[in-house]
Amino acid sequence: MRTLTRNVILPVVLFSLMLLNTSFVDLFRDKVEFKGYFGKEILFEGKNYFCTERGDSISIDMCRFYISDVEFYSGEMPVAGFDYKLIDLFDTSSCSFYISGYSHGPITEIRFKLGIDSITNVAGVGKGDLDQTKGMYWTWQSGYINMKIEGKSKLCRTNRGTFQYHIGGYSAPTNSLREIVLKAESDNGNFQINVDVEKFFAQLDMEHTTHVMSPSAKSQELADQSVKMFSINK
Amino acid sequence: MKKRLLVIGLLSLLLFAFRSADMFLDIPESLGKPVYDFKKKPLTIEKVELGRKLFYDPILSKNNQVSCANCHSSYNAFAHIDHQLSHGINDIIGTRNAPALMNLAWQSSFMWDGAVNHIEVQPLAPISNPIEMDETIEHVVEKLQHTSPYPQLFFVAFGDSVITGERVLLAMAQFQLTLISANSKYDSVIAGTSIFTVQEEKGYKLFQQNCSSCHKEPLMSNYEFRNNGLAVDTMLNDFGRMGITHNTKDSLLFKVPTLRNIEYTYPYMHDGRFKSLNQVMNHYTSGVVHSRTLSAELNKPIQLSSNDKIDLIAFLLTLSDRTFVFNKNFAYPSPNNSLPRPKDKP
Repeated sequence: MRTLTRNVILPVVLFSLMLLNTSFVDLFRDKVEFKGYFGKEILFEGKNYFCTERGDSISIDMCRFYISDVEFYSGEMPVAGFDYKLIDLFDTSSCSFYISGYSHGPITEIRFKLGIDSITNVAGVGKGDLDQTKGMYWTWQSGYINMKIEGKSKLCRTNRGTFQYHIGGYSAPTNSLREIVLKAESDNGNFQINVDVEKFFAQLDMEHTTHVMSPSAKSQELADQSVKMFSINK
Repeated sequence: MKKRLLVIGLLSLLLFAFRSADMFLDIPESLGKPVYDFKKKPLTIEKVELGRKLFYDPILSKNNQVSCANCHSSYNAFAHIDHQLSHGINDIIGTRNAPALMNLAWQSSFMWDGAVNHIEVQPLAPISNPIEMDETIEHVVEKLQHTSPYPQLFFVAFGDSVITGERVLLAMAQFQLTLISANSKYDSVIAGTSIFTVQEEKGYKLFQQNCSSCHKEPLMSNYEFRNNGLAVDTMLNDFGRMGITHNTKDSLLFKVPTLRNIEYTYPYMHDGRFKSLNQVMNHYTSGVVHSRTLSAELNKPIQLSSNDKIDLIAFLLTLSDRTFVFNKNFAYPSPNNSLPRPKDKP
């Protein structure tokens, strides 16, 4: 019995473990990272960014959003994916994740929804990132907040120039869920998804639209605009 | 060998001791199929008891003074009696009369305007409303983590003592799902174990002719949204469902309330404007205000003689369920009235 253990089982187990380890770490484990920008500059919490198109500055205090139905494609074939994740651009630990467990060719496309779908929205309490304590849920009217962008700008005629854009709504006519498809090109298996917040403000009349906090036509406009923020590999 | 058996035996005993007890909830077939999926998330006695404790605990409010039961009294079918408009934290008067709570597993939307889409997320609305509890679920979780005996109760209910928003809300939903009322005289008449008096029978016929298209049997509501012709209160300017959908077709629509236990749930209507069932009768016969969104059934006034009204009220009183209102499992939790665990049963 002991000889069998020493001579056959142990080496086989060790060898399989090694194989497993290699395949996960070196071959099929790609890193995806979301990184905030304001135009060409890296986005920092509370920093003033000169907004060239408007001749004024904007600072961002919060940029959080859900990604869901995340799918990684190799050519036409979905090879990996997961259901949802909350990204907070000012919490780096939330901004990156690994794609693992897939066994087909290089990833060429990343698809995800910006926000939470209607089925999840009517399914009651959520777990993990969907827990209703994450500050991404409307309490007075059920529904997840797909994206929150908050900050300050003198363009806003509000107390201390604050603005708050909370985008959500899961059912017609105020469905603010949007799909994002990004062509993925990477030499080293790492993907950086850039989130250029400046693009969010490009079409926004900040003088008149300072607070959006409910499922509404405005929320839909902002959802359309927010899609433009995302690009891959600057 | 014996030692090993002993260890296995002890381990399985331990497992058995920590297995939470699935609760036997009597779901009356007479009410039809519930909306809530009990198979997906089965009730357990420990979660129901935890939810009940939370329901009665003012820790859910900012100043630790307002509990759910403040506006939802078990002795009044969980309605807020004697107040037209319910009052919340610091005695601030709200804008609506708190609705009665019963048969919630059969409903797919909550609140007078249907703002809430699932029983599990319903408590978030009163907890965070600045004129109700003025608290946040995040802070409630934090307070519970530091308040005995909650970590132990969450351990018993969920297998570890981690307190999350998900668990708080799930426990509260489980308690509220047990609030089932299907044991009124009306129910026993339908089941064939009792009979109406002549007057109740007359009232039942009138009810079927005039009321039951919205107050649909057996739940005594279709749980849809309707404009029942109440004049707009110009102080409140409450346009009901439209506030949620922003659709002008929904102006002045409110959720049709159940008539079950109506004897206990006065005052009536979303703003508690009617103190008595007599006033309600008079509204439907002569007080209906016509407007663009008025429910089609009310276009022609309902014709009821004064005798008809008395008969109809006699029928409505057969919807009272004393076993519901005085169910000690629904009342303020104390060691004397906690739910029996299966092993405690004789």
